Amino acid sequence: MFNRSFSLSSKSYLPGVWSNFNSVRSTSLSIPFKPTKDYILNKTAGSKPPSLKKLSNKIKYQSPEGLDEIFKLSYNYLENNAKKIYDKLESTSDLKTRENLLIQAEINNPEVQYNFQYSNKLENNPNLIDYEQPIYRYLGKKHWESYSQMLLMQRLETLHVIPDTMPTLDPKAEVNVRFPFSTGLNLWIEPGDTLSSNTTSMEPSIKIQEYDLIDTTKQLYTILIVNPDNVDIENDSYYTSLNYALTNIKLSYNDNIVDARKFTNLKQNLLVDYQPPVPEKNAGQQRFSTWVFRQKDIMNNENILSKYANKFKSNFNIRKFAEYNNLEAIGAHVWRSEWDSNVANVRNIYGMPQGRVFTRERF
Amino acid sequence: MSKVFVRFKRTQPATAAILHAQKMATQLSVITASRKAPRLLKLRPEDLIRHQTVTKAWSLFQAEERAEQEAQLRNQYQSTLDAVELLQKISPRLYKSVTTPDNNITVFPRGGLRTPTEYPPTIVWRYQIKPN
Repeated sequence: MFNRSFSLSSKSYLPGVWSNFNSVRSTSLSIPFKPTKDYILNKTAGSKPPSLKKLSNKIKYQSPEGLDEIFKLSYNYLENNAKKIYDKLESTSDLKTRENLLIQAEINNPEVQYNFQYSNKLENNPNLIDYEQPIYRYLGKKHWESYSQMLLMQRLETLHVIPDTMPTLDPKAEVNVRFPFSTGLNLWIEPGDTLSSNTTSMEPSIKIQEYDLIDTTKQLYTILIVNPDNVDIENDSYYTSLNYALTNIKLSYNDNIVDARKFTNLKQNLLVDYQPPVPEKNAGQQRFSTWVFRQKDIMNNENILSKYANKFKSNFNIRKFAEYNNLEAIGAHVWRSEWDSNVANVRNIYGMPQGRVFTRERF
Repeated sequence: MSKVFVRFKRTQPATAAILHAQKMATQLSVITASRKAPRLLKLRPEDLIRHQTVTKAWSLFQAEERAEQEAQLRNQYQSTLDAVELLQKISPRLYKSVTTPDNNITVFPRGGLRTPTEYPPTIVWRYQIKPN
């Protein structure tokens, strides 16, 4: 039945919806490594997968029986479906509908699936995973939601970053943080990690991956790193300090790592310079939460600084700041710091005063 | 009087079955979960993608067929309804005879004529039928 229907439908099949790489179709929708592409699409009898390198493994390996024939039928059937969706796309002008149709047309393309499943999604190579393409954004979002997003929300909630900083978060963009390699940790850190003061001694680079359909030419972002755990002895409480603030940052879908290269205009982009975590002895762990916001319009940093500069260090209210500047929180991240033997060194480098040592009894 | 010692056939106690089951359970619990689970398909990435493509195509094809069949059934049901409504307008007497359940059970065909369906009836044979 399957065969009969396929052979009937193949009469109306026009080759090349998935293999016609004209100027419109992105090359990221095909497998760039030719032997792999050939093996997947036009496997000949007896050929072995190019991912097998050793001859003995090649001899041992048997690809499933009858898969070649049925794959060709399936590919034609799916490509034919995609052709219908592309035809529908021509008569659609609504951007959201177009995006959905583009996802539907490519989601069953084996080349797209191969590129996405077997390459790095975080540090993506635009030749393989091009987040400009709606399909890769869709797959990326699903992949993010399947684990990292849940992990992030769990960490934010169990560490009470929400509601201690912002009231809540509706995550829309994936935020990842890493510190420069020279400080010793060459990793994208997991939300909630406790990091040494040496690692966090220089400003982090922050990767903000947008999955939604937005106008990347206009959209601006604000990034804040706040510490809500500064000891406030006078009031027997804690206060929030602003440790890093970047504004008016422009990102694209693929080039979205925010580091010194991204903010060339210091006046416009750098609101508060990086203040590294220097927790005091016996004051416990401090949560450094990174918040990423979408801006409604461009922010005037001079104005903000002249009004609120004195509040940034001693008593920063992130909720009021976001409300005043029309900021929409789209992503967050958190790491923890505590006192270690290197804190004094970091204080020296940044010219900070000596830290206090807390004891069980107050004098 | 001499004591006669009789040796009986050794029989298993009643709890033996329970003990056996317990032993099986212990043995199973010792085996790791990965050994109990069915083996994964050992495919290279390329073949796995091809396998996924085929599976996807098959599921889509089936969904298409299912949708087609459902649409057909819906249409058939709708046209039956339309016909009955029309009948109500044209001839209320016929409409009444059609919509009231038929209690006139005949001996042949046994239980009266049945609407042809794709599946056999749930009551296969009516034993208690007597002619009116």
